[in-house]
Parts: sequence; structure tokens; C-alpha cells
Amino acid sequence: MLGNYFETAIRPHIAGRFADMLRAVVEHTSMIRYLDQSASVGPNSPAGQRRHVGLNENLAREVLELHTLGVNGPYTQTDVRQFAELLTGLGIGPEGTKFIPNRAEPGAETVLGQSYGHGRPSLDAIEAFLEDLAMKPATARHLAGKLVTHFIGPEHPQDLVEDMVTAYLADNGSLMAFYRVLLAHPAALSPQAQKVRPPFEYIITCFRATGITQEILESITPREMRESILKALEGMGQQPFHPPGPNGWPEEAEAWITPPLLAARISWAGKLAHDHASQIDPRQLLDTILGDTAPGELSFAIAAAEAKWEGVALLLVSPGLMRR
Amino acid sequence: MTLSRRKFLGRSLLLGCSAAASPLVTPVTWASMPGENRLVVIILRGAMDGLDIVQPVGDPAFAGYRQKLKTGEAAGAHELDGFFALNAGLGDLMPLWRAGELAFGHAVSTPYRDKRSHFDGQDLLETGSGASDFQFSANQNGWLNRMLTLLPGADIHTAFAVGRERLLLLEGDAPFSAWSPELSFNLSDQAQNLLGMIYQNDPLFKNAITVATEIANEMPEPQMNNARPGSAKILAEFAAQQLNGEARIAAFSIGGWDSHNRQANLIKRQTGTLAEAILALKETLGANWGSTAVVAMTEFGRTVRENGSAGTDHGTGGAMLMAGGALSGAKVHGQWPGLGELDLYQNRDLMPTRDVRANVGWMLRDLFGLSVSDLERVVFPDVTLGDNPRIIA
Repeated sequence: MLGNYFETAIRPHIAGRFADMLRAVVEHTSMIRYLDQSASVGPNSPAGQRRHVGLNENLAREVLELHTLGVNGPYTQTDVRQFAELLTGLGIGPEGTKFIPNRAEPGAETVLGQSYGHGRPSLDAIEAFLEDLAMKPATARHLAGKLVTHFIGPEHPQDLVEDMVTAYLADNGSLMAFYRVLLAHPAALSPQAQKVRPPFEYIITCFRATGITQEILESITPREMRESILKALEGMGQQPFHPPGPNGWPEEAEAWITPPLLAARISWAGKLAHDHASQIDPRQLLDTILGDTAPGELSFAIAAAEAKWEGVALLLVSPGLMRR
Repeated sequence: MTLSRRKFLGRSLLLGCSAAASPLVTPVTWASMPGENRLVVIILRGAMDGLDIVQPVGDPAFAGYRQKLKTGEAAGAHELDGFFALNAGLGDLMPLWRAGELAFGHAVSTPYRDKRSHFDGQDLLETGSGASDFQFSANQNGWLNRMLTLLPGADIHTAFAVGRERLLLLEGDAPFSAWSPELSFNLSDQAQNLLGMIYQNDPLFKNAITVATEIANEMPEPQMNNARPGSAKILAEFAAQQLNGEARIAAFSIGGWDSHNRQANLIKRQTGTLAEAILALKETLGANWGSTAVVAMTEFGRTVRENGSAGTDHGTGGAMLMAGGALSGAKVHGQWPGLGELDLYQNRDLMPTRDVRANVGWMLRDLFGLSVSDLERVVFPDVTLGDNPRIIA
């Protein structure tokens, strides 16, 4: 089900407006279940009165904290409650996401100083708020900060974030506006490699480095996939589709390189090199991958390796390959 | 021993001078060792509902807030002291209570207020920061690491982070060990040398490989057994094995406490896990249980009123659990704020009456002989320890 979430709620909107992505995410059945929206009922709605059930504020809080304004953004506990009331009715029917008016809290709600949901309860009121929320400067700042942290690193010029905010707001909340400013900035062109590739990205990098092609990967059995890839990802701290919390995978390099997690990377990459890279010349591969940026100690260590595959293994576990 | 020497030790390890090889780091350099007392810190991630774990059944207002969520006798809770009752899921710990080896702190919290974010709340719990509005910065470190810097004779073997994930609680200048019981990691001397070479200029990798090779060489091969890898029971057994050796401090986390929906089911599962972990510590520690204190703490409590889906939402004040033979006795520590509407924090949450750091601070003082002024200055800046609740005998 999470695969569907990525394919239908995230990917189609990567180059579109953030408001559209936000709406798709909030209204996806995976999200509605994951953050308990399906269990939230307006206490004064017909369903709430009859079944003595009420609000669950989980989705409302995380949308404001994680997906839009950010934890230091301009919202209060009252906004969380009011937004939770506004979200009531959003639920799941037999055929997927469904607005169930019977569960919607009657009357308008005031969220972030603005009133929503006059008249009959409907999905439109929720979507109107999400549209406004996507266009808040605090949302733009939070998103820009996340993108810069992801693609450049925790240490980045603040003016870059502000330039991205301005461009996003001027371009009707288009994500492309973010990317244009980000990619044109000098900081993006001379990266300091502050980050560590998360495990999924890391194993793809290793596959590409050692010539493990898509055809080879497609030919392996589900059992081999589980043993050689899924278990490895878990050992490196990234069980697919199971991030530690609703805030997703960590960005900090420190989170991915603890002693046990690094040991898991070394064990896996060593086996990969041993089993599949005995014919690769590590010195050539080093030159192909790192070129001029290869540090002297790595060239020296690779030259000192006793077998070709050991040299490849050293390259695969080197900071130059794990960092980006 | 001065702090600067301590810091030098931290740096030197980062630079790859192994503890065993450095003449500066032999035990004879110090007059004393960390002693016999042991501490286990368990971080309960997701915000445990303290009111469901240690239920204030003697408070006349309590039952009214919890209708779908059964409490007290109706939920099989175990009578503790006439006012509080223990959640049925922790029933296996009642023998510890009767033996004076189980205690709680109630109406406790960190200084974190109002935004009620798990992630900031946990960072604040682990850094021991005094800020009510948390802003994380990269150079922050964990309070347990700062405590290590004060501990005479502490070295890389003294404190152990158990599990694969990063544990901010133990990060900082003082060296510590980190390993996970299911791992097997055997490198030839040649491989170790070459890895040491390629990581020499990257402190993050350098430190991780130094710890990994040093620890892995000392570890027995992982044992096959029926428990789920990475389960709290396995982590606890592994932690206890380290404490039976050179380690005096171990820490790990148990996640999954975020009970927004159908809390009864979730709490049943979680309390089972927690009880199992504590009993595994006791059993594996054997005689050393007598000199051990366990403290389990969470980022914040949950709403006093149950929510609309038989769960609770993010709150403020909550409960902490202590266990071990080093405790002074079975007691629910703390000053009860009451549950009348005017007694609640923002008419919503249990009003905290004590900083969780003050209780932990006194435990550190009484277990390891640290001074109150060092605790208030280095370990928990901005906290006032106040009166000693005498959690430790």
C-alpha cells in the first residue's frame, strides 16, 4: 500500500505545486490510516453523538508540524484542535478515501486565524485550508530548509533558503521554483559532502559501481532478494517502508554511521565485492568513480589490498563513496 | 581528574589512539574506578501514557476522564499504595514491588512545553536541555555522556549504547561503546589496518570503526535463540551481560508508545515488552541486580481525557519507572497535582510537579557519588535538584 502512496500521492507532484502534493498526501488512505484520521469523529456530529466517539488529533498535528509549517512554525495547540475538527469527515469507505458528512463536526472552524467550513460539511473546506496552508511563508521556509538540508547538508547559506521561499511564493507554490533556485546556487555546485547516503541509496551506488545491472537484479528470486538486500537494508538501519516515525528517515550523517550500522555496511559491501567484483581492477574503478577527488590514503590502501575484490571493497566502504 | 584531561581522552579516541594502546589511558592513571553500582537507562519513545501505567485510582476525578479506556479494578490493575494502581500489563513486575525493587515518579516532565512534538521532546529528553522550546543544534550532546565525563576512571567500556540506532543520550566527548547483540563482525588485522587508513581523516567514520573493531573483537558470537532479533528482551540481556563485565552504564530504547488509537491494545503489548525487558535485566544480572538501578523515561505524558478513539493525544506531565536492587524501596515518588479541571495544565494535561531530570540527578548522585553542583552545572544545566527523593538506598 505504501508503494501506491509513493506512486500516486508523491511522484506525480514532484514537479508540480506543493498544494497538490499536500492534498494528495492528506487524502491518501495510507495516511488516513497511519495517523488515525479514520478514527477521528466530530464529537457533535451525528456519528459522534450516537457512538460517543470524538476527535483524534494525530493527523492534524503532524500535518502542521512535519509536512507544512514546521515545529517552530506559527501554530498553537488550539490550531491543532481546530484543524482536527475541520478534518473530521475525511475517512475511508469501501472504495477508498471518502468524505463521510455524518462524522464531520458541524459549524465552521478557525485555523491559523482564518475561518473554514461554513455551510454543509464537505471535503472542499478541508482542501481550501490545505491550499492556504501550502502557501504560508512558514511552510515555504520549512520545505526549503528540508530540501537544502537533504541535497546540500545541515550547514548551508541561509540566504539560499530565503531566496527559495521568495521564488516559491512568487510562482504560486511551485516546487520547480525551489529546485531552480537550489540548483543555481554556488553551494549546490561545490558540495562539501556533508551527508551520508542512506542505505537504499548506498546499495544502489554499490550496485552501479560493481556493474550489477537492473537485469541481474530482476533475475534474482524473492528469497535471494530478502536475504541479500532486504535484510542488509534492515541491518544498515533502513527497513524499506518502515521509517522510525512519521518524520521519516533521518538526514544527519551521525544517524547512519553508528558502530553497528557501519559494521553492517562493511560486511555487506565486503561480501558484494567478494562475490561479484573479483574481475574488477579497483584502481581503475577508483579513478572512474572519484577521479581527482580520490584521497591519497584511499589510493594507497587500495594499492595495498591483497586481492582485487578487497580493493573494490575498500572503495565501496570509503567515506568518498558513502558520503555525498 | 580534570575535565580537560577527560576531553583529551575523548578526542584522542576520535583520533584513533586506541584505549588499550595509550599509556595515558591505563587504569593506574586514576585513583578510583567507576565503582560497583550500575545504571540502565531505557528511553520509551512515542510518549507513554503515565496515567494508564500508574493509574491514580484514588483521585476522584480520574475515572470520569477515562470511560472507554478501562482503569483500576475493571482493567485488572494491581493495587500499589492505596492511591495508585499499576497497569495489568506490568503485573509480572509486582514481585519486584513487593520486594522493594520497583518505584515510580509521577507528574514528572522535562521542561519541554506546548508544541508537544515527539521528536523535539525526545531530543530534549536525551540532551537534558533546560529549554522549554527546543531548538536542536548539531553540537548538542547527551546528558549521560556528560555524566561520563565526571565519572572517575570511566573509559570506552564504562557505558554501552545497546542497539543499532543512534542514541543521542550517550553522544558527546566521552568515549562509549555501541553494539547490537545480533551482530557478528570479524575483520582480519589487515582489513582493520586498511579501514583505519581510509577513515583517518573523517572523524565520524573513524570513531565508528574504532568502536566497532574494539567491541566486536571482545564479543562472543551471537547466540541463536527464539526471541526476535532486536527485541527489547534481547537488548536487555545483552545490556546485562555488559554490566556483568566492565560496563556500569547501559542504555537502549523501546519505541511504540504513541497511543492515539485503541490504547488498551497498544499498552498491553508495550507493557508486556517493558516488563519482559526489566525481568530479563534482573535475571541476567543475577547478584549484580542488587547494585543496579533501572530508569525508564519518556518524552512527555498524554492527555488526561481520553480522545475520541479510545486513545490519548500528546500531553505534558507523565510517569517514570525505576527498578533494581539499588532502590530504597517501593514507592510512587512525587507530589500529586490533582485532576480537577483547574489542576490540569492548560485544562488538558497532567500538571508536572517535578522535573524528570531532578529525579535522575539524585539517582546519579547516589549511585555514582557525583556532586549536586556538578550535576546542576554539567549534566543538567539549569535544573535545580531540590530535595532528595531518596530513590536510591
